[in-house]
Amino acid sequence: MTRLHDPEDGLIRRHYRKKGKPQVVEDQLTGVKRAPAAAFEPRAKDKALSVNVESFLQAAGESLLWGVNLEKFYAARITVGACEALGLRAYHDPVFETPEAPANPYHGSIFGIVEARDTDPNAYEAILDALSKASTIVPEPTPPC
Amino acid sequence: MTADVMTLPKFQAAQAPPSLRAPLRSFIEPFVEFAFGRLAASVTTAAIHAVDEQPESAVAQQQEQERETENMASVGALTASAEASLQRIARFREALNDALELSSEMVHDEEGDPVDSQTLQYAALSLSPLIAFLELPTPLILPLQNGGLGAEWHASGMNIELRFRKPYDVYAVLEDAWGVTSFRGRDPDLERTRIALGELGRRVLESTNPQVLADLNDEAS
Repeated sequence: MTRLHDPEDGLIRRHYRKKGKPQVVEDQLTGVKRAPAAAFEPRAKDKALSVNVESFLQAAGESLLWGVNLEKFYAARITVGACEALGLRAYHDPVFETPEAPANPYHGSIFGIVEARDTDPNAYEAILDALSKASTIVPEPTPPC
Repeated sequence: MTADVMTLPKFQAAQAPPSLRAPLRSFIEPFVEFAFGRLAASVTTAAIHAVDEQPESAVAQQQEQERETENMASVGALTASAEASLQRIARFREALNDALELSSEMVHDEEGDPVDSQTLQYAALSLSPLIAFLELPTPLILPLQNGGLGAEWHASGMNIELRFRKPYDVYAVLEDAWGVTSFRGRDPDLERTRIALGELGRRVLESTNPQVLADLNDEAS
């Protein structure tokens, strides 16, 4: 597991579509389309928030939407810098193949969110807000006419 | 144990466990019936009064006709308003159902927890009156982790985000590009949220029908 330091490096988080549509909101203060806070909630069983690391995807020549089934998910992007500003720590944390799950060499983990959830609910909500605000939506390829 | 103890008539028919949506329906529908029952009753009462009052002279008759015309216009406006409220409630219910479907999918994928039925009821009961009586767009409803439910409006210069974690445990983000309403924190009884949603409803009404708002302002003053 390697700590990520480049503040511009992107972290790609997938989130469920609803009825085939990405759950994107248009922020009324900035006019920017972003993911809702729900996209950045770790599961109860998780120890960190799972993402894919942009720099590792790019180094391998992969799309930012690698591993994102676009029929089911859309993808949001936040940066390492946004995480650091919130006191969170982002790591490259590759997943090795198991009988239950395929390998993901681009996988990353954001630590600090689960700790906040378990100790300071208001801080947890503030982190979700900030990540949602800092997010942008990863463009999807336009389907051919 | 004798054989007749276990005869068929002694058994109760097995009841299917209530689905997640059952309590939602059972809570929203009585509210809608109550709210709109009262509305219909008030409309009917106005109409009865209009018929019962007997005019005494030609001038009085003319005044009475004018009043009747006004009453009919009021009844028409009330009916339109009630229909719009019912449509908003129907869209809200559909959004809740869509969120529950998404929650089921996430649970199936082991990507989330089922929405807690009490939290769902609390959210539905808290928001239904506001949605029925304010000109609000349909909110984005999303399942949250640990059984919570989120409701968001992003319109008319306002970001209103509610996270129902448990009954009476609601985190609200209320942002306003015009700076009228702003809050971030726990809002268990939706006191601050109500103000923000009222402001959003006012703006939506203004943008869709400026004359209605001008009339309301005139009446208020």
